[in-house]
Amino acid sequence: MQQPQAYTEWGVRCVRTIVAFAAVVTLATCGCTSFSLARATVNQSQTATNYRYQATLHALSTVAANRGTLPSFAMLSSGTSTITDTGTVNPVLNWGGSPEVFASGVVGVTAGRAPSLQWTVSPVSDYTQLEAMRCACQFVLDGQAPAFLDQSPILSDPEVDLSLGPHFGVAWRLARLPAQWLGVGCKRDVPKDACYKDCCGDVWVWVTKEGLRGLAEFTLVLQDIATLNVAPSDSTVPAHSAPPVLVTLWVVQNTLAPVELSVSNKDGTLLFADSGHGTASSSIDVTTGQPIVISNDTCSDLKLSVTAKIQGMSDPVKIVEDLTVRKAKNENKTAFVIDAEAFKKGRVESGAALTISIQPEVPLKGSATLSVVDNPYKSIYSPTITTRLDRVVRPECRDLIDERLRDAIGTQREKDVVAIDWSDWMAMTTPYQGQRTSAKPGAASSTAVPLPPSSYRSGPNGATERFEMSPVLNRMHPYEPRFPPSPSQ
Amino acid sequence: MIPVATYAVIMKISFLLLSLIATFGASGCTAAALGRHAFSQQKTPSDIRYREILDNLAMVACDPAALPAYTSIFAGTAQITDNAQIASTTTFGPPAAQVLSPQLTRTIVGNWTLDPLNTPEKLEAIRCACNWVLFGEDTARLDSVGMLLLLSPEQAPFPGRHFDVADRLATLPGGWVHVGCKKDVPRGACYCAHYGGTSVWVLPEDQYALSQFTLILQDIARVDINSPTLQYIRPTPSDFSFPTKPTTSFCGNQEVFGQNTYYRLPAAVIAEVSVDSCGRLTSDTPYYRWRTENAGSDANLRSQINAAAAGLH
Repeated sequence: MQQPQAYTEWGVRCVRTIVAFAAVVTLATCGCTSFSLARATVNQSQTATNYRYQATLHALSTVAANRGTLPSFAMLSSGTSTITDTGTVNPVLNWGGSPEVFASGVVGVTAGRAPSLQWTVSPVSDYTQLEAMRCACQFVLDGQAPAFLDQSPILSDPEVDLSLGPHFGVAWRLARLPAQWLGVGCKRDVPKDACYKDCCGDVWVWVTKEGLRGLAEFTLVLQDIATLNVAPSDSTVPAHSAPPVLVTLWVVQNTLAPVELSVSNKDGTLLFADSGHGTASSSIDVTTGQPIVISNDTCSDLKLSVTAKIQGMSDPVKIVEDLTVRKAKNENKTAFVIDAEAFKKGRVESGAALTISIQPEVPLKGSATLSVVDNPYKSIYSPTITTRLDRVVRPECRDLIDERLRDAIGTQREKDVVAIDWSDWMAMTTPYQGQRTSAKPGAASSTAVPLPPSSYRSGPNGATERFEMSPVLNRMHPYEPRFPPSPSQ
Repeated sequence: MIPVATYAVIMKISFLLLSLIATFGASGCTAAALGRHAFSQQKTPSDIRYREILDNLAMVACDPAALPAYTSIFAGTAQITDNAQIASTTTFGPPAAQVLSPQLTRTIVGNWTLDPLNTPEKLEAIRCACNWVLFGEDTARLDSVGMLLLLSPEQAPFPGRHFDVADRLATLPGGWVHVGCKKDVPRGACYCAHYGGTSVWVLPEDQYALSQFTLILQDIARVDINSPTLQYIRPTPSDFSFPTKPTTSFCGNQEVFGQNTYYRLPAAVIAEVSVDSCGRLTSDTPYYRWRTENAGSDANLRSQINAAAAGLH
């Protein structure tokens, strides 16, 4: 028979122990977990530097083993630091023989801690980045010869190196690397005091304390290459390329055939004649925007102007400034256009037609005039067709275009047409195809994106309004009845 | 004195009650514990930042060229899982026996999601800032690239990023961070860190300076690396149109308009380009070195990571 007194005391102690332990587990573990989590977080954070150094050395060892190999490099993109604390109290109480007899008691206590630290790594996968990293590693392994950088456009600054292809702009970083910071050899060459080392096959690379600065700077080079946004999701220019120098070519053509007129000298008097029929006219119908071509059949240069008589003004207002119609055989034609504004002035304000006046130069005398009447029924047709072509200026041709632009603008009193013809444009530019887009992980399918226009230029509607043929514009364009080569030729 | 029989009955009832409380009433207890746990966890970020910064200062004090490792924390989870169960086993005799085995389990999970800095400009800027506070402004200026990063875009009107923290670094009091070996660290130091035989520490009276320096590093760490406020904004190029020599139309035939003429009209060609202030041909958009930030700045990716982390537990 067991002693009741002893069981009673034991039971009281058992219950106290269980309650006390449960209280400790319940109350104390919360703060302990947070404290440990903070410590683990700081410790995990500090591993980033070591990771980067090791990743850099591994890239170097890979390329050192075989110069043609692409290095693998992954950035730390995010991390989690987790502490899981578990406390279990598992008492077992036995009653033996009868319900009143307490036989024994067992307290099982389990405490567990599961720290879980995680880094998510993002491997570099763009082919241009991999190539740039290999090139940077080769530069270091080949003794950091400055000439290497000159021959490696992928490492140069995109704003300086205008050649086609990617440019990561890390040459300046590579150029300031200290000399002899990296050791390369076999295993037995690795010094005992090497701070970091890595191998690929039989080839070992290492860095001693003296080379840590070089390792840090070269790590920055790889980080620079790896973090450059080479595949923007919004079809903008990748960061390894300078934005292209674009030229937008607007080709503006009239939809109306020109009215052809000739000016001849008959017994010392100037006469207008319809070129098609040879009959003299005192008035012609012209549609807004329709070109008027004047050919000079006299032996003298002619001065031509278009004027409107406006009520209340003694002198007529010039709608088209003085044009010279030369007598030379190949330059004896001039084209101009009278726009809607000019017709409006003539029709509404003066109630009369516009007048084309011809003033001859010596030796001819006298003058000729011709009334121009707008045909409003034809004016609903679009006077012009405007097509647009975006092209990328070849880097080597920028200076040439600049030069021709300056020639046309800079020295002459009157601005002239820039001496670039269509075939020149085609030779000096390449098609603009927008930006390459990269495949995105998880994307089920992609749709074709229409060719994006350059960022600031307006669409065709704006272009039509903007580049509607104007008298001033046509002044710059002498009429050419010849057939210049078409773009396809 | 309680009789044995009575005591055993009381004990059984107590365990049954305990089990009932654990089973049905544990939710309230768990919520309270979770509140305490979350509160305890939210107290630590400042401490983590201080210790991270001291670790970086120690690393740079040991090797001024070393790359710092600064990781900002931007999300965390506090989780408590309670589990209570009771098992009773009756053995019919002889000898008869009764076994009662309640089990109480509590799992406490604390988690921080980290956002390590990867962009070279941020790493260099933090390294230069650490050199500034450790060795003085003059030493920091030897790192010309780093100094350009610390200046504002207005102070350094050059392409590249400028974090605009130099003025704030200049206002920090001198000598707030101490450098020595491990035995030099006083007992009263509120924060200390060791790296390769070098120790750095901060005394309680310099806590304000440490906080100000922490704000500077947080400024560098948390700004979007592609933020326009970091860039020296270049003048926008001007559009420039000019006529060039005419060509023939693409159609090449006026018959489409019913005019049936025997020649083709020349078509005017107007070129539109972008020019800089000197009138030279340039790109319509200036070049900037856009970078990809790490996951912490990507809200979608961040939520995916959080969801994945939650799924682990």
